[in-house]
Amino acid sequence: MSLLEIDSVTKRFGGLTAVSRFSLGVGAGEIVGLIGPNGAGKTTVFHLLSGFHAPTEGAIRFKGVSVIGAKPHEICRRGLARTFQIVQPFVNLTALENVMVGAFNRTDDVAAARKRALEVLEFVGLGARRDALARELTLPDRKRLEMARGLATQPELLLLDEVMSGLNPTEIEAIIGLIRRIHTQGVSLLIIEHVMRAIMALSQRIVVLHHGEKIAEGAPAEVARDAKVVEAYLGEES
Amino acid sequence: MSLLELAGVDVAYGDLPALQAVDLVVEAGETLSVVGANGAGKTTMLRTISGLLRPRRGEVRFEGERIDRLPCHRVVERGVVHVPEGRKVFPSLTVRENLELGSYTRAARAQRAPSLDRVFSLFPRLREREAQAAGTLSGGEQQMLAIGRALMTLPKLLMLDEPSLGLAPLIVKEIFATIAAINRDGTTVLLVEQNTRQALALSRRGYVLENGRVALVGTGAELLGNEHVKRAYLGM
Repeated sequence: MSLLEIDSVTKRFGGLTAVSRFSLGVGAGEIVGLIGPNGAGKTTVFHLLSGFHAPTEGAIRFKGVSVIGAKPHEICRRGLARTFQIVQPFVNLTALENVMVGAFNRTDDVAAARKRALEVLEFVGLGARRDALARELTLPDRKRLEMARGLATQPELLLLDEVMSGLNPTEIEAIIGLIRRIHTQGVSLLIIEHVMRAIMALSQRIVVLHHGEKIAEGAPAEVARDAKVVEAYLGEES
Repeated sequence: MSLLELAGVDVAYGDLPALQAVDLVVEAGETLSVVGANGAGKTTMLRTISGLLRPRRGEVRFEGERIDRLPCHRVVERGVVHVPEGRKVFPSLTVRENLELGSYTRAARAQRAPSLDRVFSLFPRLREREAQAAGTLSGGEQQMLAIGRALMTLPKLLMLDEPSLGLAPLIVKEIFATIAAINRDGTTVLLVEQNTRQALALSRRGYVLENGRVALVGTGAELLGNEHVKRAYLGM
């Protein structure tokens, strides 16, 4: 059994089909990349997995249990956490307080939440910024904070939505290193990213969405050579 | 005389210095990129040139005249336009209405019809979506609209803040190719980008900003080959 099973899921908004008969499995310990043009339906898939939307058709199971109808915080407590493309910190809370909010997913005890949050902040490299307000952090640090908030919930599967957008190549290398460390801790990852160098280096498998449909799936090198993917997403080598 | 000159510009947010003693020159007809880490002051620089921020010290001159005390709309009238990071199109207005709002100055309004034609020929996708609400466009199309709206002002200097942000590789290539075409047609381009490699490859010259100061200046090729740039910004 896969950790996550998406079985022929369709999501329609009125007349618009955002995701169409999409199937995907993510195994325990896997890193899977989800790529595709802007508007392909990638973020909608994350909304469906994390309980922000219910699919129109199809099934989604996490650890064998359907997530459809479950509230986002319930899904999170089962071990499936996500980040947001546009980072969503509580801007007037400190970095530590932001991460504690995630830690409260697992505990009601303030001291325990604080301890967990401090560990996670160290882990993502924000230990020295723990008392800074979220709005004072630079964009790369806010991206780290976003990941820390997800990690504090102690996920088995973490969904990352464009955590590298807006970063320069050197800042991206640092985030790649962090994602590898998260993976080493036993967390499986499903990653949406446009930064090809990163997604190719990190993913064991890549799935390509176009107009809500899966047009390719396979090892990174195979997918990068796929004619449909080149035409819809990558463009010819310039 | 250069098209745009920043001379000894200091900008601060409260006590926090954002730009310090920045000297920068943009020559008419060139594409110039400004690269640097997040928080280095790149967006602050564009906002200062646009008149959204006031320098504490120093001058901003456009075609030899000071513009650092002018309100934004006067800066636009002089021929400087700013495409902000995150596109900022009016989501409930149509594509055409967004474009028409770009041609608001008297000179631009007189040229509205030919300007629209030019924008539609640069971005055929916008013509197809002319009557559609801008909020329903994809990210790449919204970026095209933001650039198109800026061109409607008939700029001499087009300033772009991270036009590749959040866009798929194919669209990034399209946007960069269009920026090159706009420059070939005679519009000077000042480009701020995190996509350091493609930005410098497109540019005649580049500036590297670090902690609010100009750290390096050179041709695009020189900066791409610079060891510090490779390490700090190209991830090599």
